[in-house]
Formats: sequence, C-alpha cells, structure tokens
Amino acid sequence: MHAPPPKPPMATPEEPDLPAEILDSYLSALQCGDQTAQAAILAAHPALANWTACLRGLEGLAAAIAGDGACEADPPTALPRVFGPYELLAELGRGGMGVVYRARHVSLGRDVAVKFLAGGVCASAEQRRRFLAEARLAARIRHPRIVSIHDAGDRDGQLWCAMDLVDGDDLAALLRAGPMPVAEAVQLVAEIARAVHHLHTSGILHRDVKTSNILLDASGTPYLSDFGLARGDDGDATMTGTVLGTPASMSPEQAAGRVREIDARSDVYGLGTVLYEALGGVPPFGGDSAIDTLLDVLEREPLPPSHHNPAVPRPLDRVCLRCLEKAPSRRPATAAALADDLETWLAEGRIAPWSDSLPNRIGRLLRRHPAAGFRLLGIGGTMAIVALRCLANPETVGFYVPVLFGLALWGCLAVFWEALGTRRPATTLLRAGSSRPLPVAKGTWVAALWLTDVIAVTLLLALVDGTSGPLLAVYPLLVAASGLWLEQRLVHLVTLACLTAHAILAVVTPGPVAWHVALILDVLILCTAAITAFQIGRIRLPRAAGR
Amino acid sequence: MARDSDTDAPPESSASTDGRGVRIAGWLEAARRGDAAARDRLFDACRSYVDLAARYHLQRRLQAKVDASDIVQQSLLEAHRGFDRFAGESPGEWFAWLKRIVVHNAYDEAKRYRGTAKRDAGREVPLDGRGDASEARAFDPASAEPSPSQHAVRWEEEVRLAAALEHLPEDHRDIILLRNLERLPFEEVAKRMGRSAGACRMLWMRAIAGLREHLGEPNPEA
Repeated sequence: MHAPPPKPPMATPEEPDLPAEILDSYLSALQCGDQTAQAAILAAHPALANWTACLRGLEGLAAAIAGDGACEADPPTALPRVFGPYELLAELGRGGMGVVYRARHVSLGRDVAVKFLAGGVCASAEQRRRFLAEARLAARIRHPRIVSIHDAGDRDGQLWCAMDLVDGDDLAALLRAGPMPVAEAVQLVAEIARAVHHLHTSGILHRDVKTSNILLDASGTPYLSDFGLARGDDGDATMTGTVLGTPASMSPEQAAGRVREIDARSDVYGLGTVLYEALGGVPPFGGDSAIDTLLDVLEREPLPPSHHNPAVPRPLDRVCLRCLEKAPSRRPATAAALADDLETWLAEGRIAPWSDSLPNRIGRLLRRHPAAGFRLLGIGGTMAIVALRCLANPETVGFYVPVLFGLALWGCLAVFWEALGTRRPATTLLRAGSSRPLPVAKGTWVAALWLTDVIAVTLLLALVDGTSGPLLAVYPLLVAASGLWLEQRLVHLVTLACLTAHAILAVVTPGPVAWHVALILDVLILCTAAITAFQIGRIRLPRAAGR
Repeated sequence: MARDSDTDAPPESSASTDGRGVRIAGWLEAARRGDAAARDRLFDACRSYVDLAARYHLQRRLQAKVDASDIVQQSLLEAHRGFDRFAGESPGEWFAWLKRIVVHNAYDEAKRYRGTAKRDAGREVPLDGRGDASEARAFDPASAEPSPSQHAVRWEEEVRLAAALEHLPEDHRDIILLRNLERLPFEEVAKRMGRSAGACRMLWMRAIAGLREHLGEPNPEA
C-alpha cells in the first residue's frame, strides 16, 4: 500500500547513544511485567524515557488485540479461564448445538457445566431461538433425575447457560463396551421413564430420548439431559415436518415427519430404544446411513433384545418390543406405565400380562422377516389357487400334485435361507437396503436367495407348460421385487438369470415357440430392470449425501 | 498483566487524543441510539483496529504473512449486520465484541487456507475471547481499574495507534506486529522476515521511531 520510505526516519541519528538492544531489553521487561527491570533499564538509559510511552501504547494495543498476556498458548481454548462469574476448567464435550465446559462458580465454589451456543455471535437467529427455548424449558423442570439449568445469558452475543454438572459418562459411551446387567438396565430405564413422565405431566415433550442424552454420575445414577429438541405444550408448532432427532432412536412418526402425531408415546418409543440398547448392547436399528436407519425405523421390526444378549428374559423382550411398536396406540400409553411394568418386573420377576391380536402378530412377523414372509405369502396364495382348481376339477389332481409339491419345496427353501441368514453372526444379512455394495458373504447369500426364486419359478413353469401364457409375467415381477434391496448389482443379476431361464425354457419346451412373443417378454424384462435400476440410482443420491 | 502495569503509569500520551477528535464512547452511545452518522464514524474509527486484529490473528494461526483484507471486510460486514445484537455499552465491550468476530473469521480463514478442515467444530472459536478474562476484570466495579472515562481514553489511544500503524511502511508495520504485538523474540522475527536478527533490531528501532513521528510525539531530546 505504502511506498517504502526514502530514508529512515529522523530518530536514529539523533539518539546515537541508545542501542536497539537496550530498547529491546526494555520491551522484554515490559512484556514480562517486570517493573524492577524496567526501572533499572530506564535509570541506566535516560534517553529511553522518550520511547516508553510509545512502547507502552503498543503493549496496550497488543493486549487489546490478543486479549491476553504474552504466553498465550496456541490452542484457542486454553483452560482454565474466567467467564463471567465462572471459571471454565475443562471441555466436557461438543455437539452440533455447542460446547460444554466443566466450570466452577467462583464465589459459590459450586461446580457446574456451562454450555455455549456454537457459532457465537454469528449463530443464526433460529439457532439462538432454539438455544434459549431449550434453556427456558429446562428451567421449568425440577426433578432428581433431570439435569436442571441454573442460569443463562447473552454475553456480547455469545449465548450460554449453566446447568447441573453430572460427573461421568453418558449411557451411549458406557454401552459401547456391551450390554448392561439386566436388573441394572431395567432399574435405569425405569428411573428415566419416571423422569420422562414428569416432563410429560409438566407439559413438555423431550422428543430426543436416547442413550447419549442420559448421563451417569460416578455412582451410576442416571440423569436425563439435553432439551435441544424439546417442545412445551405452549411452544410454537413451526417445525412442520422437519425431521429432527437422531435416526436410530427416532420414533416412526418422527422419522416420517408426521409432526402432528408426536406425543408422549413418541418419548415412550425413545425409552424403548434405550431399554433395547441397555439390554441388547446394540440399538434396535443401525443402518449404514441415516436414510437406511430411517427406512428401517419405518418398515422393519427389530429382533428381540435377547437375540443379541441371551441373558435377557422373554418378558423383558416383550416390554421392549411393545415400546417399539410402529403404531403409537399399541405402545404403553404413558412413560409411567412403562416404569410400572419395569418396577413390577424388578420386584416380582414378572410382567403384567398383555394380550396381542393375531393380525398384529402376523404383521410383526412379516416386518421382522420380510424376505421369507412375503415369499411365503405369495407361494401360499398360489398354492391356495392351485388347490381350489384341483377341488373344482378333481380329474386335474394328477397334473397339479407335482406343482403343489414344487411350491411347497420352494417355500421350505425360502424359510431355510431365512434361518441361515438370521443366525446370530449374520444378523445383518437380512437387512434390505444396505448402502454399501454387499460384502461377499452377504452378497452370496442374497444372490442364492434370488437364484433359488428364478430356478423354482422356471421349473414350475416347465412343469405346467406355461411358456407362452400370462404366467411368464412372474419374471418381470421378480426383477422388480429384487429392486427392494436397493442394490443395482442384484437387479442386474436377477435380470440376467431371468433372461437365461426364459431362453432355456423356450428351448426345452416341446412344440412350436412364438419367437416374437418370447422376444417381447425379454424386452419387458429389460424395461423393468432399467426402470428399477434407475429408481435405485435416484434413491442412492440422497443416500450417499446423507451419510 | 501488561494492562495492569500500564495503568499504574501516568497517562503520558492521553493528552493527544483530542487532537484527532476520536470519541469512541460518544459515538458508540449515539450509534446504539440509532444515530447512523455516529455509527459510520464509529466503524470508520475502528477499521484500523479490525485490520490489525485480523492480521494479528490470521498471522498467528498460519505463522506466515498472508492477506487479511478478506476477513477484515467480512468482519466489518458482520459487525454492521449484527450491530443491533451488540448488547454492551462501554467501548471495552465494543472492542471485545469486534475482536471476537475477527477471531472467529480468522479461525475459519486459517482453516480454509490450510485446507485441512479436519474438525467442523471450529465454530467454538468465539469463545476464544481470552479477552473474556481481561475484559471481565476491566468491567468489575470492585477492581482497582481506571474509571470509565480513563477507559475511553485508553481505547482512543489504541485506535489512534492502530491508525498510525496503518500509515507506516509495510516492513515497519510488519516488524512491529511481530515484535510488539505478537511478542516474538528477535530470533523468531528474523526467521519470519528472512533477515538477520541484528538487521531486524535496527529495522524495528527505525519503525518505532517512525511510529512516534506519526503520533506526533515531541522530538526526542526536545
């Protein structure tokens, strides 16, 4: 910006007796705050007096710019440091919403946790509104198992709040090592359920009950925390359809964005996920990406916790799965009801009986084993039609008995594959829609499942001589159904298998074959494959982005 | 620390503040009442401070000389936009607020510059206001800090210094930034500037002398 000076400024020639070293040593003394040394240097070099004001001024400027003494360490958040009435001692954690410090109230000597809104003065108005809303809601609550807020404020645009300090890890960290002892897990969830019920009776929904929001102190006492998503009954309803929360612990109504349906039973669902993870050691649903998990939450039925941890008694399985029901009306009506159930189990070792209707059970079975379930439904339906046909025309029995046998065999194979896939070491095999390319073991399993279908269908078609009839529509159907796995490679494989099987069928079938009809079917198969693969590609985009 | 010792000394140079007509406290108050002209004057006066703070914080993070003009612009813009949100009253609070914005932007810029956005948690930086500590002391009525009017004088002094630094030749300003503001020893300054330590010392002395001249201090030996 400025041209270099033509000449050094005037001062140096007029002060030949003041070496730069002296000026430097004076500045060093000034920077260290060593007043004795400053005085001594000044006494030895009176000419220095004219320079001190400027150096002191620059020192003031340095302090004004850095805001700290000479030995400022590089990590921008060096601790401890003073913040208002608090002394910040250590960072406890950070999340999307902000940073939490362990702090001590200097005059009271009390230890608290101080949370700052991320983004400081640059946080958006929405973030600030949410932060303050959380603080206000939490300030309304006094409960021995809920982290309460003491103070909050805005310091030059930086929002902060001070709350109870819970000295320990959160439950999620604890469970990374594996499931808890059963009685302990039940006790913990019962206490948290009481706390959640207290929230509900105060007109507050937590909406984000999950293991990482449950803090445990040194003695293992749990505390519910983090009202970041909570909503009071007087609160605004502006969050229309926004998906908020953590996919793995989100209730289906939250995952689907059906905001109006969210009520106390959504928090009961959250408690169910906590109970599940505490008992089983793993969350009920854990997809490779957030979208996978959301789809699972909406469509799949979790395996019982005892599947992951054989120590879990069956009655607790039922309590847990009941909380995780898709329909809120089938969950325990209140958190208190869940707490009652759990406490009854602790006291008496039993759970109050709870009846379930047959359609519910069938629905749950289908959601738990969709691959085998829907195959059996299809196969069973076909068998019923064939059986009816036999009843209507008894003379055809001889022709249809092998068909019925074939269908039954196919059904058995489907169940066999399912059993193979859900064995404990391979629980993830069944999971539809893994976003990663299937690893070999899983891929082999899925491929075997689908090739079984293609072969079974082809054999049955050969048996009934259906090479040119409407039964051939089963091939495009298979291709379309394979798309449910959301794996383009699987669609390609099934398409190829169907085309091959169809060609073989055409060749081995006795009698004249209408080639043009066969080719039309091939084109239909290819079109179905193209459409299915295209749809998968579309869904893949957000899946990849949402990871 | 430095400030404490500073305040013990007689305010040797405060008499010169009225010379440039800088009145931070008055403008701040008027601007907070909605006086647009006062607000413009306030931002005008603080520009050099923001510029210097931006340079300082960016340079300290990157350990190299870089162009800070982007984050100066950005910070001034944010301060302008967020002015209504500024809740403080005293110049001390005002400068702490400005600084926090600058530090935040410098942090982001440094991250971008290095191209290593490892953690996205950089947003906590505004907390960096280690200013918090010293500023908190400054506003404590119980402490033996100078009176509010003395404060105002001191801030005007700092604003005046920052402005004077801006008028220095580039190498003079750089060396004052490194030695006086970053408080680096000359061995380190020499490494950064690519000169010998002795040459740096001489350059520094000339820079200070030049600064004194700009500040209109009485000639030495006068």
